[in-house]
Amino acid sequence: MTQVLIVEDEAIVAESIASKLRRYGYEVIDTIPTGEEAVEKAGKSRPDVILMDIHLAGKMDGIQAADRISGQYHIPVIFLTAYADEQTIARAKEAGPFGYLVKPFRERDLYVTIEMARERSRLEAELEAANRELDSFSYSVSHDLRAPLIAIDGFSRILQETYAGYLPPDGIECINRIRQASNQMDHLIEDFLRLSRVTRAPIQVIPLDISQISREILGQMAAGEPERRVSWKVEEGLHGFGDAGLVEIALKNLLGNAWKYTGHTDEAKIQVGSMMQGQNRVFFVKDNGAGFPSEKANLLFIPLQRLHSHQEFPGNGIGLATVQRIIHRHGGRIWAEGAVGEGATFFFTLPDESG
Amino acid sequence: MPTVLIVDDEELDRKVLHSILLSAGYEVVGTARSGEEGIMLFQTLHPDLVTIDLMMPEMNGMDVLNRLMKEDNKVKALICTAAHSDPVVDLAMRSGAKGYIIKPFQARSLLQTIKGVVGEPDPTRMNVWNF
Repeated sequence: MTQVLIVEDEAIVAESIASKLRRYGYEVIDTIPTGEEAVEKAGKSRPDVILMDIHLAGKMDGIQAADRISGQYHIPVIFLTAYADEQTIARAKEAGPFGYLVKPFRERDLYVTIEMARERSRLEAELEAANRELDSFSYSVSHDLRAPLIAIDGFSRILQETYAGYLPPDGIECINRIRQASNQMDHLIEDFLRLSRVTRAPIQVIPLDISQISREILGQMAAGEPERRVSWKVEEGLHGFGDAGLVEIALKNLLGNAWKYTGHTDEAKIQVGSMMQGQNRVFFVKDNGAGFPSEKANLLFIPLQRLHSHQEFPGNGIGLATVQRIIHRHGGRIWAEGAVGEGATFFFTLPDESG
Repeated sequence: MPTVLIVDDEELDRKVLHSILLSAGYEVVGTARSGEEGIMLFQTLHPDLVTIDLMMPEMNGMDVLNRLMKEDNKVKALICTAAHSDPVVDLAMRSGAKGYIIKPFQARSLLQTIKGVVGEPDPTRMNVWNF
């Protein structure tokens, strides 16, 4: 039987809710008047659902109590309150409630809200367990795959450095190939791990200066390859909202691609700018490099799909998949336009404001 | 008293190893979060012993060991790794490591390995820190 804890400082109201719940077949394990006691009781008896009044008798109000409870235990909290003003709702939202019922409410709504809350709580717990499993899986995969690779590379290196005199040139070339291949796979594993982290790391959305970040990245790339001659133009005042770390990874990948794929282009040009599409600001990164067949634009974001050979342009096909996940996690969109030999343009959107 | 530099990208592993070494009476002169940082600290601190985690992003433990061997071929280094039979252990020994430490860390066996490489810790410093 579903166990419900009621937190309500008016005894008559509490009793009336309790009797309604009993009629629907719920077990009311207790009715409690203060937030402090509610936190304690939640920990001790672990009810399936908590119905929480916002204005309570003690120092701690219902929102604070719910915040504590959801921080410590996996118990869904539903707010029951006579208040529906913007400020209270905004505060209540922060506590991540599983429902918000404004008094007076209908019995049927109470029942539906409780059932939905239980279902959502169950799904969330399942998802969290799956994510934990995935985390430990990718951790052990990376370790178990990388250790033999380190051994392959290390022993090849010993062959190369210590026994080079015993090998004909062709043998030495074979060892070079072994080392190249194992390094390539090592990078691939690392990029895969980064991709899986990008998908699940919590994001914190803050205002960002896209122009500034882009200029810094381009500056670093120019410093890393001083022999390249690339001219770039970054529109001033590009502002968006996003997670600083993730958006920087996305821009590094997009600008890194623009940099890479203009490697065989005379007068390489990279442009970072924006345009309005309806109500939305769309950012873009444009280059005049190798480009891609326009009918294959949708393949660009699939992991491991590459439209150029490794000899022509090195890479492992994870970068754009990572960028797409980052933009999607922000609720944004990303797409590309291009043609062979005429360069590529990547468009993306970010949230207009935080939250 | 023997001085130790810890090179490990995992914060928890750094803390655990640090506290085991401290409570045994070794002096941990530095902890590095990456191979690059480890090489930099090695050059300035000149520790008696370096423990190097094998699995680190960018620069793995073998890369760090090879660099340290180039700097100073008498360096006393231990590789920290997750498996005994790993071919990496053999590789590390051939490449100049003085031994290896198995992860997850176990105080008794790792202290024995370390004692074999750099000698007894300072007995007056033992158990100063109780974590």
